[in-house]
Amino acid sequence: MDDEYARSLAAKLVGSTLGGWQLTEYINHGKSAVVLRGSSSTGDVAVKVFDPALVARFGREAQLKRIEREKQLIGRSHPNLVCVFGGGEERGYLFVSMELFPGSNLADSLTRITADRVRPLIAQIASAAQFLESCAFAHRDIKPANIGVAPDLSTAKLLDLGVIRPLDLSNVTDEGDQKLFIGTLQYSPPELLFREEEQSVEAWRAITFYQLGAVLHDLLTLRPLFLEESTPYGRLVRAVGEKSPRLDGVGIDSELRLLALNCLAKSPTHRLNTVKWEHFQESHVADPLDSARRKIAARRGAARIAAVGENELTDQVAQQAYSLRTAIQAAVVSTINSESLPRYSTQVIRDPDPFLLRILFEPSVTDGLEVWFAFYCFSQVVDPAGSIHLLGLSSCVAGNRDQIPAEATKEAIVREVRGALIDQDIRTQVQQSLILAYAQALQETEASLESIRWIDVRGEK
Amino acid sequence: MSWWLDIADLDPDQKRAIGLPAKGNYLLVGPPGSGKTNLLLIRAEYLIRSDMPNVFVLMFNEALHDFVVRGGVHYDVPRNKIRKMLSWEIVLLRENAVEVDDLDDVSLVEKRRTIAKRVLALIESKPALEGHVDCLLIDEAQDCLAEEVEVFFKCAKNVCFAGDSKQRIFSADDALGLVGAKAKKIELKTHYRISHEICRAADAVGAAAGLESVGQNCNYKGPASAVHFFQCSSDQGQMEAMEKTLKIQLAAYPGELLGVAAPRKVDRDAIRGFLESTSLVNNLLPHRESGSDEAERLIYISHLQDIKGLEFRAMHLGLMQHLSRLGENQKRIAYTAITRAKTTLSIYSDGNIPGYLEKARVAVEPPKSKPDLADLFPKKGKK
Repeated sequence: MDDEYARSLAAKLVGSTLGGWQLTEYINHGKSAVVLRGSSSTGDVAVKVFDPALVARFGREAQLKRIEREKQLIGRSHPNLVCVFGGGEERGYLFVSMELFPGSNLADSLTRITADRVRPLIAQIASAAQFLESCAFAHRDIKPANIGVAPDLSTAKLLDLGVIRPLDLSNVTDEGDQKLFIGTLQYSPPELLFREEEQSVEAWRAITFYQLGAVLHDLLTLRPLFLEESTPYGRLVRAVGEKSPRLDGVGIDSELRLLALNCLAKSPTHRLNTVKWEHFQESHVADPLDSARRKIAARRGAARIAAVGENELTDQVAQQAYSLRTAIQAAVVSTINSESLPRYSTQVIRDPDPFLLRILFEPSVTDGLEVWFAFYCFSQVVDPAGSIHLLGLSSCVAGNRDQIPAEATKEAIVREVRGALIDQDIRTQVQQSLILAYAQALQETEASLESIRWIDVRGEK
Repeated sequence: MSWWLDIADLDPDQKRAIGLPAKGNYLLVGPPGSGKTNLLLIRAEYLIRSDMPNVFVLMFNEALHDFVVRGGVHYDVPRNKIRKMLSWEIVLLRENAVEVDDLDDVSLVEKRRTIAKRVLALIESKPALEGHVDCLLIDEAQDCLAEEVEVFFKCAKNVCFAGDSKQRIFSADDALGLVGAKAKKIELKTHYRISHEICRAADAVGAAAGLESVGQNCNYKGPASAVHFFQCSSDQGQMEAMEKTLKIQLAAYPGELLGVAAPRKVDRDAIRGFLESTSLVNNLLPHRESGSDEAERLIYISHLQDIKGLEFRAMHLGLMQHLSRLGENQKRIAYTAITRAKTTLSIYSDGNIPGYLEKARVAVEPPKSKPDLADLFPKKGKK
């Protein structure tokens, strides 16, 4: 609906009541509804009224169902989620009443965001999304335009629950809009765009992570995701499907950058493997010094990029490859020693970039390891200017040594992390994967193993 | 030296070596830090307890002997059972009234060869001496002469050698080959003493000498490690840097031996002279002694060829610009010196080091930024 139509619809409504609220003034409008101020003795609310013409055209039943879903959140409140008070149908109007949020939406306030606001804002939005998941809902349309921010930019609220979806919807046919695209293309992951999403809590969480990553991208770069590609439509579809966003700006917090890149991965599996809810909250790394180290590293990286020209990039590749190699080897050795893993040998298969290290553990009676166990660490400098690196970890077991390949084959199940990795990330990733893989290797017996078996080192879903 | 106190500390190869029958001829081969010397001592104790008291552990050089005697108490091997190779032979000759004091003017290798020949002649004339020892256990066997190998096989009913072909630093006979033909070989694959970083440096030098990698079987478990290359045009500057680092390490690794070595004896003496003039004077060990009753004396100073078999928490190789003076065996000598370090290795030079040592530097240091092309041209205003 256009502005003029919205205002004329609002004009018809002002002065009347819906759900017990006195409609006093027009606030704004979306594609299918106008929002008016509703007043009562207890205070003011926002009342969203759907355009009757659109409702008639696209299905009253489906819209009512959505309103019913929203109403399921009545009484379940979260500080960063807009509060729903009521909704239904009166005088032929479908409506929802909700908390009136003073402030603007994030899309309009984006350029005012300062670096120190990014972490608290994304943490608040993620916590609202996680709350929705705990209520068995997915928002499906998290984007800056659906996020309200307080005038002082200290708090954010996730708005517009109009397209929330229950996670346990097993009978998909009752979804009237099933094959329609829901959400906003520019902020949606490929699987949602192509309607390839699976029907599971994890699949919806992967979608939520992507959308949170897109919001984080905007907060970090102060520009909408895929802005250059936003028209024509076909170009945007291609970008969503294929283009990896860059986050190369100077001064971007490397931990948040890594989080955003991991969230924006095209593969939902990758997102689930690398992102956890707690990553959105204040620094998820236990070491309190770590965020300081990251800042120092980020600062140094940025200073270096500012100081050197393009022709020094190859040197940076060599230097970054050296740091990666050093960090990987240190992480491997410290894990082996701290976990008292059995005797091993190491082999550098590729050097220096890409780098591939194979660690081979022989069967050990005293450790209960009955098979040959190999762990592979792969690293590559993806983008030297942005210090973007790729870390790939995989593992296999075999009944005899000759079956262990020098490199991971395409059957390998790879834990892949891509981003501005610092030593701490590498240590954590290597440690987790190696311990996980070793625990699984201990379950294997020579008899149960006819050939080589690849171990899933990716961690919990 | 790190000692094992529990059989659970042993790896499968080491257990195999421990479990060998009392009788028989054996050769233990393995990289530095794979436990060869420990295994010889454990075997000595095992034989003594199994009613074969007439055994000797023979060490190659004085410092190593001293080192092992200090550690020998851990395994209840009586000190008089641990002997220096050459002095054990000399005692045998003297006991049988053979002249040995006429050899002061010849080189060490020639002296050793002559003494071994005299022992062989003695056995020839006194057949009772053949097999008069229950077992000889010989460390650093790679540096034995062919005649010495023969002496040991002749004098003992059983022999057990330990060695590492990579550490051969005297251009001697292929002793391990000779022993290997007559003894059962036990390979110790994994080593535990030398850090991964130091292995990287060692492997770069080893590759130049045609030696196989030691890094791939490294299972080091010690403290955080580092390899540093210092470059300073003056000898004084190198030694001052060394002094500074040694002071820090004395505090960082309390009670642990620190090694200082230089290519030639004259370089060694220069470093000793300098360190004696500093506040470290009371921390220096007397010449050729690798231990002292004064607990604060922990710094061992020698020339490169004299540190085989020893091990140090931190190793300093100074005045290394003279390494190229050591002749054809210099790569193996450098390799052996590097593998004396357990945790940190510092290499000092004026920048003129041989290519194979330069490779070690490249292997451990972060890549440098390419020089600014403008810097390659003479500066204006300078002639």
